[in-house]
Amino acid sequence: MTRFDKFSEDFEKLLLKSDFGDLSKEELALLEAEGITEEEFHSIKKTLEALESIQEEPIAPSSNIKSKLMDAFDEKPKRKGLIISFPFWITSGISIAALLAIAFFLLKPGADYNQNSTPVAQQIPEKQQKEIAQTEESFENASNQEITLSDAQENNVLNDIPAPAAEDILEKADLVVAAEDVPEKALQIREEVDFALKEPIAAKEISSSRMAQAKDLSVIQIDSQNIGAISTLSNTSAFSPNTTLSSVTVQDSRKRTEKVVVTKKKSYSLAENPSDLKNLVTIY
Amino acid sequence: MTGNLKVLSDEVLMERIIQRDKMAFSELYDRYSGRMMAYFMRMLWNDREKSEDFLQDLFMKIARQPELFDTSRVFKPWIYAVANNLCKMEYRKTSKRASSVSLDKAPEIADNSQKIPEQVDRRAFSRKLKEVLETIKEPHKSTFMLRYFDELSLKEIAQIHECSEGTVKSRIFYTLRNIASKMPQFQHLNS
Repeated sequence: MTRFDKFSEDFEKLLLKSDFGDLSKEELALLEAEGITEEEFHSIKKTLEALESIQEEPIAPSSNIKSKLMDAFDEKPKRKGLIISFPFWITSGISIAALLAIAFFLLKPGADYNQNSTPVAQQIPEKQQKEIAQTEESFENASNQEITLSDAQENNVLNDIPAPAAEDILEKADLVVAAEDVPEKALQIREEVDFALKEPIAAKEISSSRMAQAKDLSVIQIDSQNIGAISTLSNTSAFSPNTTLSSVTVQDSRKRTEKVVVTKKKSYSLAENPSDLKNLVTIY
Repeated sequence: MTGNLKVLSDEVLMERIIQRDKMAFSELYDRYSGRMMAYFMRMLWNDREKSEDFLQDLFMKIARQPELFDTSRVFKPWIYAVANNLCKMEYRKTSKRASSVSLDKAPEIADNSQKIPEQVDRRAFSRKLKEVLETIKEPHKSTFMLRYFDELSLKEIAQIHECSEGTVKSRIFYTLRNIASKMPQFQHLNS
């Protein structure tokens, strides 16, 4: 909206047909605001009258422009994109080369793909065959043991052992398996915890599926005071050995906002060292 | 598909051009080439060669990508808007804003023009007006030209420049005022 909107629809008509004395108060006020005197009004009016009297004729362009355009109209519109067009002699050359390559492999002189008809098993050295046999034997034994264990379970052999102790046994078993890697893994955990504390992951980086997984594992009730602080998982019992901890979803106590707790360590096995869970979770 | 193309509206012609009707394209060119050429001449310092290049570019766009035009809209403001954009790009490319014939070097126009026959006077007015317009900056210049040379409505100009009609009125009024102050010797013309 400009001040000129106050003019009548066709302000030129106003200039052409009205005299200064015929202008409305509003129009006069506008001219006054623009600093246009009566003399200047007449000057503009005369210029406009002169403009009305001149006629601008179309200018005929060269005739060859039309013929060029008509030719261009007949051309098919070019495709856009990264389509590289080669001259026909290159494309046909590539085709011939490809055909020759295929023919070479199919009709290779002297090639006999059936000449080595010895079974694969017979081609394995005797020593390796023995090793394979031993492995197969031990596998069969292991399967038998598994059957024995399941039989024992059916007979409530393990029912006498308290549940925490059972978990402890399993944890220890895992730790024994991973014993060789412990120093290296401990170092790795420390590094990742440090990194997590320094550079927290933005909440948007966590996929919804991972959040859902975490939601099922643990919910930490927080309030505004501990946002930004480091928190410890309160109910670690919800985690079983080898649980992968990737992220945890938390809510504030008033459930107004859902915040995300992220650990930089994207997969963490509790079996490695459950006590390291503390300091792994940061609430943003 | 041909029929009498002359009675068809610009928008219908464009619909046919989109369907690759060559005769429709020919008709549209005949309708607009003269006035678009005049427009380019005015906008591009009366450089005929450049104006013809621009005219060719403009219609080449229509020939190759007619679907860029929305057939539910009015064609005339659209083609002027495309032409205006081509000129704006040219202005950006070159710093040559002033006319090749500057006002200082313009032929002297006698103040006692009342003695000159009216026909010559009008020609002199037209020439002087174009020179004065060269000194006026965009978008005022093209707004003024579209109004008084191409006789477009305020609404059409507003569409071309993507502004309100009030802004168009304002630009035209200030340009008129500017021209009036620079061409006092011609104010007798219609009196």
